[in-house]
Amino acid sequence: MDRAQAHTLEAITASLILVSSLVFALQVTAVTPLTGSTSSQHIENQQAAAAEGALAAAVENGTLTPTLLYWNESESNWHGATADGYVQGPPPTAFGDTLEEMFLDRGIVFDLTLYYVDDDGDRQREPIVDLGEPSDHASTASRTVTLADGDALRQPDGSASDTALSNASYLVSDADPDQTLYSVVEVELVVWRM
Amino acid sequence: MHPHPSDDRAQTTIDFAIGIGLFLIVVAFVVAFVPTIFTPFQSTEGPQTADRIATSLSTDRLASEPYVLNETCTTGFFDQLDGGGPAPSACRFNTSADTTRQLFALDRTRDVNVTVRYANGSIVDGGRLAAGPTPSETTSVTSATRVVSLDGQPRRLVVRTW
Repeated sequence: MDRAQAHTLEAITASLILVSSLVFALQVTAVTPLTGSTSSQHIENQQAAAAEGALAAAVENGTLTPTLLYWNESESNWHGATADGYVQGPPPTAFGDTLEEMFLDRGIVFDLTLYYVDDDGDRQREPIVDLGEPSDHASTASRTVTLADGDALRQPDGSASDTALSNASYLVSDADPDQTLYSVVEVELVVWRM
Repeated sequence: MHPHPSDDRAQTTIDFAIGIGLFLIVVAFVVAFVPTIFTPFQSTEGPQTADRIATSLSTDRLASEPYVLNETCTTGFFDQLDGGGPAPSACRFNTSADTTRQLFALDRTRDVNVTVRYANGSIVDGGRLAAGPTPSETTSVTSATRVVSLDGQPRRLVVRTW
């Protein structure tokens, strides 16, 4: 036997071929286990539906509008909020409690934003709850809310004050001063897992 | 170098052992890794079934409008599946079904459990709003959750399928 052959090199070559075919297989598949979003797709669906359900439930039991009316006229801000809205958690209203129970307690954070049309016809945004920048996998739900002239602003304890929207200095201005409609605003809830 | 003058091969036993060992390790790695490539293509029936049932229940079958449940039909739904009489015929689900499998027309191999829960996870009304068999402890169970309004209160509708 005059073989001068190194088995090590052969084995290394064979291993390289095996590994490179594996890499090739990974590259030709569009979706692999390393593609992050497929595994979380189900969770994202849940969160999107949960956000929509939370808003629907709040509209149904009438707790959404009071949160929008939780406004401090003298400070031109939500009661006890910072310039960025509530940054430590939801506002101390019934809808805020729902959000806390349904989302925060489950490790899901959210942003709640009010969109309205100002006097110049431009769409403006005002954060109500700002718990950070949404992740790439955030889900959004929104709901339009109609405010009436007779809706009363809420006091810090949540009870209705004597100030009706038509006489108040509210963030949104009266879209139709002649009639009882005050304005139509949009509430957006963005949820994502921390 | 000739450790054994009678042997002409330029390869030692150690060389061979290292080579074949390396080769076997790589083979084992590849064999272990290949099944995970196909994971995304395996059946996604569980999550999809759970999702569809949850959506159908919360936006249509039990609901008067999306995510707002009709109280009569919701209590009727759970009473019917817990062995009580059929739910009112105006409700939009199979009011003659006795089991969740029959109601959702599932395969014989699949089963589903539906509960309405408080935000903290305990079942509403001391467990009355629960239907379907206890989820399997040995197979993979998928759950889907919806936030719904029942009787003016926010609740979780949890669907578990296996």
